[in-house]
Amino acid sequence: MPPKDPINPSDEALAKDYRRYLDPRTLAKIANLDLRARLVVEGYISGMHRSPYRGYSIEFAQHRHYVQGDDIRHIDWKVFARTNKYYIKQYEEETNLVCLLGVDCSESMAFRSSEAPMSKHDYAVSIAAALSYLALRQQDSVGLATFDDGITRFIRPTNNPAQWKVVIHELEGSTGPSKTSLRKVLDELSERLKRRTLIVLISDFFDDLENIRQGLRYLRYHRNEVILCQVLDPAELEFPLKGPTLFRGMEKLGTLLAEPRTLRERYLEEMQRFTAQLRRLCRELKLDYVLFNTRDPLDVALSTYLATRGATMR
Amino acid sequence: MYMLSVAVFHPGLIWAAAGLALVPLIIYLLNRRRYREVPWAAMQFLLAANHKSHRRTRLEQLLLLILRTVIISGIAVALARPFWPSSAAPKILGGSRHHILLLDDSASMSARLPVTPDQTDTTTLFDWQITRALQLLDEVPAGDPVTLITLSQPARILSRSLLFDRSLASRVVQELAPGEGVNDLAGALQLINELPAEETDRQRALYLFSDFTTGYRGPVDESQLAVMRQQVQKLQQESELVLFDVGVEQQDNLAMVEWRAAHAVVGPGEPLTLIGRVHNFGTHRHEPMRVEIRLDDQLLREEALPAIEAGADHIFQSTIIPERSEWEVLSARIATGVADALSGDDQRPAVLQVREEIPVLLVDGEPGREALLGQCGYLLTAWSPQLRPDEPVLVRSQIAVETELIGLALDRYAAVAICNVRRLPAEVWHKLHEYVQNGGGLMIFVGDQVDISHYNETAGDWLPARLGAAAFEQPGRDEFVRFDPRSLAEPMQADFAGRERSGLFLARIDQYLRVEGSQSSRGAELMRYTNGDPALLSRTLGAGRVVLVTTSANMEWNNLPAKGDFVTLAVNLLRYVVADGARFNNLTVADRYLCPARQLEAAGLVNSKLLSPDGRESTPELRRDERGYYLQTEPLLSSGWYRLRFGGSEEPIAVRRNLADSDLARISESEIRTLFPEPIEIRHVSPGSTTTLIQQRQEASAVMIYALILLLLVETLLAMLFGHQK
Repeated sequence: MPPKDPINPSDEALAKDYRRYLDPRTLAKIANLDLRARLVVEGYISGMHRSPYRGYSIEFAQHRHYVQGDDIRHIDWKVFARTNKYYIKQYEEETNLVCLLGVDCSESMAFRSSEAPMSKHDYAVSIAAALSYLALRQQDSVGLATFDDGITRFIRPTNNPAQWKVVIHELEGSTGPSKTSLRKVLDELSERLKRRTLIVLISDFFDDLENIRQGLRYLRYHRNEVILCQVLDPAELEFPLKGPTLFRGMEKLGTLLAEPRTLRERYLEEMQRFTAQLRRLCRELKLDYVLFNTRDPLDVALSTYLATRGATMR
Repeated sequence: MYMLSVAVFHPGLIWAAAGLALVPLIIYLLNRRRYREVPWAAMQFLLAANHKSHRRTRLEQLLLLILRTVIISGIAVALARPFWPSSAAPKILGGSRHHILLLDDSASMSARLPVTPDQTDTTTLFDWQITRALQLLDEVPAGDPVTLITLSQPARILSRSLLFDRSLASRVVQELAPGEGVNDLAGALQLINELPAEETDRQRALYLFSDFTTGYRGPVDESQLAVMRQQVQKLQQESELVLFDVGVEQQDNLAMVEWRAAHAVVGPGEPLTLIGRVHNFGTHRHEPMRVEIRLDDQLLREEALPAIEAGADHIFQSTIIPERSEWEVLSARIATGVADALSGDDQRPAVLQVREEIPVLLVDGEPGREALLGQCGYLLTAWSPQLRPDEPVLVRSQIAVETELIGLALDRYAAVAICNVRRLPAEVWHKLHEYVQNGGGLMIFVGDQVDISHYNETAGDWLPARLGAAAFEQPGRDEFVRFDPRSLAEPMQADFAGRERSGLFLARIDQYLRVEGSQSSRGAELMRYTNGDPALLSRTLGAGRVVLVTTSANMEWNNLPAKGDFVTLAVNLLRYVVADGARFNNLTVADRYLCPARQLEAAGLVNSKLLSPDGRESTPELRRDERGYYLQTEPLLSSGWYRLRFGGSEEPIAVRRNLADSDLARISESEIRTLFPEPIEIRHVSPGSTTTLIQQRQEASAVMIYALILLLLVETLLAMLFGHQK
């Protein structure tokens, strides 16, 4: 039996083995982000056996009268032969979906507990890379914005295949010391995006909910679709710590010496209330919300993207 | 209330409990220092959670800390075996116990119970104690052994072996008579500690009956008290100790607390002053009374005494003139009709030795001088004023020079006076020292011949003071001092107190020797000069006394011999230094008669017999130590007259009550507890009460263990509830 080649696998092998590349524990062992993204997407798609979204092409929309200045290449000569009048053929927009991936690079995203195979940032970057690969493969335009308390890097969306390398290169950067300030980031994004865009925000969203609400509302006002991917560490979700612990807060939030067992109940309440409020906010603004535990496989992110894309295209 | 008190078997573990109580706190504090550090992203939620639960968490932690402290210290307390008296709980010791009854038969227990004047009940505390002791013996479970110990000095075990037969034990108790000694608790504790091993195998219960009067205090010396407390603590570790207080509130009691001759120089035909003192130990004024003075049990005279206030003394004197040289047996007794609780101390005997003559040796440092020029002449004239050659004298003085001292047997003399002697050989000083130690009296009169440095070097260690330089450079000029009438001590006080215009204080002292050293390093000052320097100093050595006179006994350094008081002073000094010939014959209950053989007729010592006041006869032992033979009896336990017969002669011995038991005031419970540290149970079973004596002691340990288990469960549940449980 020939050895398996993870880069050029056979269809059967892909169907059988690539699924495991959706598992963060496996992906964490692959340092190369390019390879990691490819494996995720290929694994995901081959796992589906058939992609219903393959082969989109230019579709006819309507005819209109030719006016001076129109490109004569678009005159429908068959109609002219029948009617002796000049008509111009109009099509649906040629470009597929425009997708902007917003990746949080604030200090809190660097958190990784012993329960997690990778940090929240690594996980977010993996999602972003996989999505960009998938999107480009679908002929969609892909852009990237990294941010913390402001946008630190912005790559305008394009469907040029070379965009993949650019995105990957930018994603390989690390987190900074700043804290998340989503209101400012989302406002800035709204200003920069000229077209209706599917914005995938990947962050822990550890920010003031009201600020988030204002920012998202502004994005929606500009008719953008938004997917919120909240990435959290399993320790943040379950708080399994024991014994006296000095918590050193990231993003300059001070320290706290406490016995975790005494705080666990209250902490989980606070955390659940926050995620519930975030989820409710998304529902109000008709946004998609996905909560990622950095221990979970990444295919949920891809499914959500494709589902949203389909809805947006219709 | 002792019923509400809880005591422990092992008090030391209470301290351990206190220490262990700190353990949870220390662990808590250590844990606060031992933590791990983790970075945390979702800090805002953690801070919010902490803000909301901080107070509750602190309360929970405090509650758990208190619970854990209580549990841990409770374990130590339970190990200390706490108990309280009650009849409801099961008997914890189980099996048979060795019951040790300590019965107080000291003199104070003879006190009559309080009665109204018209009642004639003569029941005593001792009788009441016996009643309760018999009741206790009835309550002792069948088969439990009993040991009976009496406390009156010296403490005694009434049965050599364990008494398993309660009727026999009861009979022994019933036959017990009150003693006359003081409490000997230390001796009793010693006896218990020395019980044979087979008698200490069982658990023991000690029942101490006592009236707890002031005489119960026993040792007043701190070191003795400490030893006794150690013994008590040792007993408490292995025994249950219950004190039965059978006493009643303080009762009135008069006692003859002193009865003695004013001095020991007693001769036939010489007036002898006897000094008596009556003390009112009660809380009420006592009406006037009479004191009977008896000679050989024949009423000699009666003295009328005035009323005596509560807590006060009355001192009286009575003068007699003995007719013959013999042993005189005199007693003073508060006349019957005086109602007080304790009659045994109303009478006090005394033995006097009326001597034919008192030999005194005068050592003359100025031999050859005329009789009234040297010091010896003046002293001889003062002590032995023989107007006619055939006139008998009591003090027979003999003059010798210092060189003769080596060959003389000093013990033939009642006193030796060294008068202005320049130097003495070292062996003579040594001989003099030994003489004083054995009861001799030594007087040293200084003068211009005395070699001060020699005295200091050879005898400075034991003389009343080291001699210093002469006080005045040119004696006889304007510088002089007198004796200070405000500085009198015994024996000067009796004759000279309040007589500032007497010749003694008008005498001019032109010269004297100062003394060296601090007041504490010197002997007692009997009299001082008006400038504060000591004039007469005294030191007691062994059984004898030394007196140092810092001026001369003739007219050279003072004009005292020209005053009539010189004779009184010289006689008083002699009386002061001459040892009481009857000092071996005046004893206190529980003392042993102990007399050097030289005081007795050596020939008759072997067959000597001692007759007690109730006519019982015993044989004293002849013993020998480094100082020679001496005669010793067993402790004399009855007050009154004993008679020592030897070789056809007979000597009386007066045995007096120890006055420690005359004060019937009761000591406080706190004072008892200083002697008997916790755990101690004090039960008041004063006359009239009929409570059960042997209460089954309830061990609190079992209850505590259940309580601790319950607390442990509560702690676990709370810890789980609070989320502190691992």
